[in-house]
Amino acid sequence: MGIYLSKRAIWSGLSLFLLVVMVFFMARLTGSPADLYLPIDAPTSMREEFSRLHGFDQPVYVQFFDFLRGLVTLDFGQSLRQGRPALALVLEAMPTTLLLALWSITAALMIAIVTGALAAWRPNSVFDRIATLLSLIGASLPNFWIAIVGVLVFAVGLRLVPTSGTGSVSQWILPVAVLAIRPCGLLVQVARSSMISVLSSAYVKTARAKGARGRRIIFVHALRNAMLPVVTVAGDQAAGIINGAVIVETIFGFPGIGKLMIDSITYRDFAVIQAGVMVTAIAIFMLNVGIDIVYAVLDPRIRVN
Amino acid sequence: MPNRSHILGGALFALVATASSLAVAQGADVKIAVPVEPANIDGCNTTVNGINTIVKENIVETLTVLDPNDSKVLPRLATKWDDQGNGTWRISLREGVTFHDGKPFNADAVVKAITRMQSTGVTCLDRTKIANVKLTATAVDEKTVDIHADPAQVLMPVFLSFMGIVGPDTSTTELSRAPVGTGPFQFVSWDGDGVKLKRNDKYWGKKPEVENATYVFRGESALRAAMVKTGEADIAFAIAPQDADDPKMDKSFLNGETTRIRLIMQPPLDDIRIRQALNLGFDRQALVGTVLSDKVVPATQFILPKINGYNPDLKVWPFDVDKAAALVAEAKAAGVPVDKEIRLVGRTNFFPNEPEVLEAIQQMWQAIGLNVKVEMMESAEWLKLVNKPYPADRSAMMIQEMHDNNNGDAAFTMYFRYHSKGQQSEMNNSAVDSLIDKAMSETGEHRTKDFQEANRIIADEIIPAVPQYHMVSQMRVGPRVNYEPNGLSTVQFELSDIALSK
Repeated sequence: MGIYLSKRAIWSGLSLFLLVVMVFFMARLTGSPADLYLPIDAPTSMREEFSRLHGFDQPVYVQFFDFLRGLVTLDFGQSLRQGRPALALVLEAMPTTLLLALWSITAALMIAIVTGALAAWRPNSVFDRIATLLSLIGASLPNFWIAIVGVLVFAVGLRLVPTSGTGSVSQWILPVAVLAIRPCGLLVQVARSSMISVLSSAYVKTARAKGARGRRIIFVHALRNAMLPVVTVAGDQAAGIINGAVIVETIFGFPGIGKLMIDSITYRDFAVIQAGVMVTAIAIFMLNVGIDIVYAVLDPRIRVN
Repeated sequence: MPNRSHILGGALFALVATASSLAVAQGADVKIAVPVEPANIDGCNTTVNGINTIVKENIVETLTVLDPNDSKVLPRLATKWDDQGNGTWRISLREGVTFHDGKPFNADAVVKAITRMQSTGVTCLDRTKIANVKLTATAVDEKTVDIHADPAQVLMPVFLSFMGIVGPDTSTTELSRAPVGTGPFQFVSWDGDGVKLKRNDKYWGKKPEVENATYVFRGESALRAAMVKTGEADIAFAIAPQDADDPKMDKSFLNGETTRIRLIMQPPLDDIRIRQALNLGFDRQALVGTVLSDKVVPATQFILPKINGYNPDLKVWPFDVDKAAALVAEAKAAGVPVDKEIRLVGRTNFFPNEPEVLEAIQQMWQAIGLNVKVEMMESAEWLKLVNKPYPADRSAMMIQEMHDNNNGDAAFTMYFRYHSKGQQSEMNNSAVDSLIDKAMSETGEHRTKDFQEANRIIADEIIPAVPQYHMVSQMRVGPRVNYEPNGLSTVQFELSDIALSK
């Protein structure tokens, strides 16, 4: 396990380094922060002064070596917009996004596993057809559309939940639902096809022959083996949620990393962009390691090393 | 006996309903939904959109303010201002004012605030309004300050309306996210739930009805509108036309912004017939009430009628497609390359429905025989095209622009846009240059007339742009409060003007 983790960490560290270097240079290709931060009628002298104050007047390679020096001590520099350490801003925003992702993927998994398994029990039945249709719709709808329609129907029309914000439990319902719908749609399909395949295997037929009942066959015998593809896809979707919470956080006013990144990209707040990419990438690396470990737990034939 | 699922469902509904009702604003507290979370709320950024709606005249007050209706300069923290000659103005300060932290408001505090605003150690954006002017403030006595401007500024009383007087202990190296001022509201907190202010019960002026105010940041117009509809917020800014569907709540107002399409003087746009044709071939009325609000006003120049220097004699270009097509044909016959592709460049997120506006205009111009292609750009790329030094390889191009002049005088528009040395000027006309230079040093009627004449030459003889509209903003105001937006509401939103419904 230790060797496995070390190997993964080395490879991920290398990828992470290349990613951050790429983000460093690509961000600087997109224009000067002075142009975006200062009003349009700011004179050239003020733009130059701003660049000097924040080190943007230095050649890019000098800025890069300064960045690398800071990276060694995990100092990503100060946020241009907020004047606070970039890493602190990212770490403050991260828990909200992680919590949002955790609730969303948990909800998506629970609904998908039960629905997929029941749909697989009688393929082409009415339940299966409805589940397939709804899951395809869920997997195809864009988040921003679901979010706005969700607000109009459940907050404005039915007054069941608040439109936005983070202060109470009810304010999490819509964002979690919106984020969960897409992965849920996809996972229902994966769970269904995986379950169909497992249900036709020899040991399930044996269980049937021994007189085991339907619910027991699905949830005791077949489900665990059918879970491997579901976990693989769920892991991928969870990473997507961490990255893709941008729209949901922006619309619902969630102070998470997605909203922070969008604001930082808009204003070319390089330090926060770099810290955000780094922290998100580490979170996804840890998620992938976690998924590998879950594989081994689910299927003892798989060894993490 | 109810089964388990009924109990669970009932409990969930009760939880949601309770929490939902708690989110509704109550009592003398108001919640305001705005589109963008600002980077800071420093009192030296009172001219920056998004910052000013929170801080200006609510937390931090300026020395003077402008009347929203006629841009007349009114007293605030300054009660009197006299031109002493040689660029020096003597300012008398209001008595009986203290900062929120208990420090006295006096001449020393004003000197500190003005020195800080001018310092290069902190990026105070209000400085852009007085760029290239060196201000030196000196305390004469406890309640009198001399402000010397180099070069001398006849608009000093207007400049005083950009000078937010922050508390004397405000950092001189960092922009503040917890400002201290003298205003009717004081800062409480800023976190994931927004910016919270509370009423300053020691305020020198009239006591506001609102006790607590919370600004929340929601990027989506439909969501801001929904928040007011459900009672979660009382006022929402920047409601897009398609979301302003409740005449009882939605209020339109001229916001000081004017749009135009700037013409880059490259072939075929360097031919005045083509520039005339573009203006004649644009049906301004067709977009009013369709893709734009029905309250926008077709413009003749780049400033609003309430601004000193506006020329009331200029007429909106008529829509005459035949004449426009004839001008294009005439230019073509004279060898002007009218078939050449002309880029019509927009900027993303400039104003609601901008892409639709540009596509409609493109169709109108295609109809008169021009080859126009719409191109939307991200802000940083767009800025490279509009600011000097211009790219060396510029080809025929038309650029969507929007400009706000809420400062009462054409000076804040004319030099920058039309003087040959202006940072965003496409012009090099000696008559306009000398009129602008002359007007900038004059006061009263002469100043007005010279700016008006410059605007006439620009609109009638040079035609460096296609004037579009004086724009409106839409604000949604909920039933719990009474608030009438005015021409300055997007830059100076005073919580004291909000009355609670009886």
